[in-house]
Amino acid sequence: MTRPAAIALILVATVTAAGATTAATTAVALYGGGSLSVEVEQKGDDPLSLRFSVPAVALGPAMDWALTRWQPDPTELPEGLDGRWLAAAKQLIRSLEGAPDGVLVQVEDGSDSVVVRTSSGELIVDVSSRNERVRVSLPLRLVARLFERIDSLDLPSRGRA
Amino acid sequence: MLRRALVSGLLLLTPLTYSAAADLWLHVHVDEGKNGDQRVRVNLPLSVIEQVIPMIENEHLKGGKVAMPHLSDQSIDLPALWQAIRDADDGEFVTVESTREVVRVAKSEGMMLVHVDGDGEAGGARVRVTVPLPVVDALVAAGEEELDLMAAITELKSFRGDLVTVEEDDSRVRIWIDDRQESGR
Repeated sequence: MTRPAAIALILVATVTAAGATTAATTAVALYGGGSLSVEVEQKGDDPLSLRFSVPAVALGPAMDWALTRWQPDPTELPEGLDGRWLAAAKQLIRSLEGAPDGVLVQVEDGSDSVVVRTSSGELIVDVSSRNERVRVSLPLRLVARLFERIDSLDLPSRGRA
Repeated sequence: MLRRALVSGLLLLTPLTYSAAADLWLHVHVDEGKNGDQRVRVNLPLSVIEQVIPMIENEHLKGGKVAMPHLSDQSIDLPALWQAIRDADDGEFVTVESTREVVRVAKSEGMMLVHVDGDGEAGGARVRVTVPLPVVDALVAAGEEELDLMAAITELKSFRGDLVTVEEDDSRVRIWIDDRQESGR
């Protein structure tokens, strides 16, 4: 191999390694905190297959932004958003983070089913029927952050204002 | 060398194995329909229940205790009543027989038992409730006007087995505790 060819190969290898390292670092930074994933599969006359994933690191600020602008109608405010149930919900998520993985709730009615489970720090909800299957998975930490933010906003009093 | 490494590895894994085995789960199974085609399965770690219950506050439940003000209104001293049952020998304390069902309340081998047997022709339910005595001890220890749910759940951590089973027509309910996450039974 000639000297210029060797130098060119070394340069290509260096650039490739740097690119791969940058991509890996970015992936870890983006997805290290998990991601919200949604999968929808629909059979029948109008088949659909939809999958997307948003890193929690990007979803957190978006969630914060949306919540700070939410001006709920007090009559439409979900009952569970008052402080009493929110505290229990926050504790439930914190406890689930430290609990072993497993199926928490499973409801089946004929061909319809709903399964809620935890796996490796993620809350996974599977809903399926004869023609549709939906899976939503999101990090428990993201759910905890959502409850923390809702609690800090004191939505019931804002709704009443 | 290899043997020593294997033994060290096993010793390191032992606490992890013990920890996993120590996780107790409360299971609730509900089956309905002739073919059991409507099913509900709930599996919750007792540790999670233990941490969440004190955070729930409503008019009946606060700080892990259930308010029972009507007991003192009716001059029922629940702790004293329970102590009398606790001190008594094993046996059947209450039997109520009606045309539709027979209800029995008994104490046997460290358990409080409530059995309800409906008349098969009338379609009544068959109910079995089993509660360890220490759980009832903990439950009534809070005083005359409240039940200490938290203390009872803590006591349940040393229990494994069926707490409640209900069978009626095409419906079956089972609530039990074991150390298995999967509720396949």
